[in-house]
Amino acid sequence: MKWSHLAFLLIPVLGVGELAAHFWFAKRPPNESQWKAAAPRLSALRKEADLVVVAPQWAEPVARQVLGDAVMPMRDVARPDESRYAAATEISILGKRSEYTRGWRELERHDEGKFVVRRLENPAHQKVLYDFVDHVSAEAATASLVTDEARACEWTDRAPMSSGGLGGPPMFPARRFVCPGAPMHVFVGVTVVEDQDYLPRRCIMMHAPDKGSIEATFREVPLGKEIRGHSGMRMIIERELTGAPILLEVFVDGEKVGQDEHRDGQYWKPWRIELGPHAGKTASVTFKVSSPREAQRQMCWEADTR
Amino acid sequence: MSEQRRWLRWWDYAIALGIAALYVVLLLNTVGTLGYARDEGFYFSAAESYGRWFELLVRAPKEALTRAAVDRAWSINHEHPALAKSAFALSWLLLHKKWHLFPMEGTAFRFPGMLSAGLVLFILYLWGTRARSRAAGIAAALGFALMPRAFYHAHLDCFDIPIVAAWVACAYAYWRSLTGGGLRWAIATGVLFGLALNTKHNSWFLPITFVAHAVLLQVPSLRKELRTGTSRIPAALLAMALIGPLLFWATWPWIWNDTAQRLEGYVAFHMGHEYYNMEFLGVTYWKPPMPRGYAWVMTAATVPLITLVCAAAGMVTIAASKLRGGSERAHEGMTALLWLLAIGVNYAAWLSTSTPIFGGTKHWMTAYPFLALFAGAGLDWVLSKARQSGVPVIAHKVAGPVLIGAACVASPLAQTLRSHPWGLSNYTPLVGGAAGGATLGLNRGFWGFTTGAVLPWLNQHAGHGETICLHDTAWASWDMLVRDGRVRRDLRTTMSPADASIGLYHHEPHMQGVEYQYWVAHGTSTPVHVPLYDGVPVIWILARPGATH
Repeated sequence: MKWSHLAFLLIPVLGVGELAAHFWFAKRPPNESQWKAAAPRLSALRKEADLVVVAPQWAEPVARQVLGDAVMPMRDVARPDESRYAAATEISILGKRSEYTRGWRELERHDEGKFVVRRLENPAHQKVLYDFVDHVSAEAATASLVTDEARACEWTDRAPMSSGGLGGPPMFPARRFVCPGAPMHVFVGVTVVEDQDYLPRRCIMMHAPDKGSIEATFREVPLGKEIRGHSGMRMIIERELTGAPILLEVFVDGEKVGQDEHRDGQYWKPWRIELGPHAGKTASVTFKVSSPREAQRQMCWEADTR
Repeated sequence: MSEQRRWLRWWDYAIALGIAALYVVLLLNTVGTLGYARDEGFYFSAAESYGRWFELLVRAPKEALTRAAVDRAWSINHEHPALAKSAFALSWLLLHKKWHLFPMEGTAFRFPGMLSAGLVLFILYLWGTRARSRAAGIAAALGFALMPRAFYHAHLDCFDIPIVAAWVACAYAYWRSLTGGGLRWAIATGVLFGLALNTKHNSWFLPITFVAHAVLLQVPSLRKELRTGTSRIPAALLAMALIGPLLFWATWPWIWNDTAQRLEGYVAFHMGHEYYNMEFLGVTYWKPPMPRGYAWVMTAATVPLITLVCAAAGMVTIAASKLRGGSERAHEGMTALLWLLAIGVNYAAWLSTSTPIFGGTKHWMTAYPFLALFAGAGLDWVLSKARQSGVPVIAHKVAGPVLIGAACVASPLAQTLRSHPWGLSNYTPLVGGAAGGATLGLNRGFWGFTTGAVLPWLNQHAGHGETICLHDTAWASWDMLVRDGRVRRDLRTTMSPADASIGLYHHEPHMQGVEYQYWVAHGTSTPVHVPLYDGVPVIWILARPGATH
């Protein structure tokens, strides 16, 4: 008999092969109890101040659950980028690597069952002197709405929270500067928006008012050589590409040192302002947001000094 | 006519009924753990409204038939026709309210959908058996039954499986009318077309398929027939044209008044349907151009490979047989042409980059019975080769088919059972299973139905009287869970993340911002519960500290 006469058997063999592949793929990733069992060891392998990244990214929610805020705080999970971190702990499953630590130098590697944990060193680490997002509070900042005259916005810990669900604005936080007489969405406060890759970005929301500008001033800011930041808004709003430009101006001790004009479609966009003669000083820094048309101009920005 | 087709024996109907009944029993046994999809919520409300009208029709027929009563009852969800929702309503009225057969209202609403799935299998067995062999019939029925996505949809009180049933029933009647069935099958085609029209707009593809089929069949003699004026239009097509629209009108009270205007509105709704978001290969599509490969890639990623390969084998062997001068099977070519056209026409819409893709695979699920029929033909070929091979066991009259059949069915069976209750999150081994799908950036689910998968946790861990943000689960879908006693009554609900102490998050990239809203509201990005489907998070729960225990 010719072997070709048995070619039909490839079909049932394929069926059995698919069955085996089905079980193999189903059992390959760690399940809930394996994540929970591994959590203490994963936490122990992380060094203080390490950023924790998970590969593949879709497994991150379960890592957040089992490792908790202490290991994966919102500040890190919703980071502006990775440049501020000297090192990272990468938790890898299924042989995947994180794209956010690509090119970082491997310091350690630990095989822990279905997990591979790597400590990685950032070759382009930059030390942050002052993070503006961390200082949105009555102790460190003031805010005001400037139309014909400047009106101070008041800090509160208990502002009514509000959110637009899927297509609306991001969450209006309870802790924020509320601007008297202004619509509810015009405030200064820290929230989280999704960027063009739907990643979380923790930032200071300052919705442009219909007239004038909204300002936030930070006192006694230690300045480095530059202010670096990002600006954007919720992807789901920005992708419509129908909004007016939003201007973010930056002042040091009242002197304008730079600006960023954000246009729809630029998404979570980095910017950088060199401080020149102000470098190394301690000064007040003001951020001013305005737009010619205020509809859906929910600017959210972050910045630090380096 | 050689093998076409001996009359089916009574046990063929018994086998068909047995397969259908077993499937419905399986669906009933698994329905209790499946959450209610977003659209089901809307159809519950519509079916209740229609149900009240049916009650009125029995109690006070004159009043029920007034324009005011008709419009009041049938205006709800009038963007979709009424047959399936009418069946949901009658099932709810009779099987839950009157006879208490189903203690859960949701199951009573869903039951007609399950029966539709049973009907699909019933027809597939009969069709496969008539066209080829009992093995082909069984393989066709199981090939469809054991597609994980079809299994998911078969549970629902939605129109997607009912339209598959209506489509394949109409196609079967048309085929019977061409294969010696006579006038009664032609009339049946017209009746079934009318019912299909009143089930879902996929029915619009039926005349396209049949006309194309009739024309292609006549191509060899078309010139002569045109010249002599002897060209004949199949009676089934005439019946469709005459009976279909009338029955459609008669069974959808909404179009009894202002018929033209309301029909225009119905057509306009579907021709200009808005674009919802859908993730495909890592990109969220929300406006044209849509990806042309969507339907094909998603079919490959969600239908078990063995089923697709059997279908391909069926197509190739039938084509080869035609090329060799035809087989002994009567009507083989015209049957295969009909199946092929049914597949092609049902997929054709997704060749356009302006066709929405938000419904995933369900929108072309009407093609799947025909894929399954080809799969049956493919398996039939394998079995015939096995018989001829002379290889011990494999060539055995009983052991061979059992072994080969088991080898071909085991994987779809395992995949289908394992897909429950995650349904739309399932992907085949071809793309690496659920984890492979997530890595490739294929949609992990939509419609918010996976709330059903976290109910045991919520019932156990949510604090008394806490407020839950339902996210993508519709109010009416949650309400049905409450009515069914599947979720604690003390839990309150909201659609605003700001007002919730506990938030459900059904993952789709474009909705990721909702999770972040919970983070800010609760002051933490740590979920309290992340159930995994084969290692992949599909839905997770976030909570204000202290809201769960």
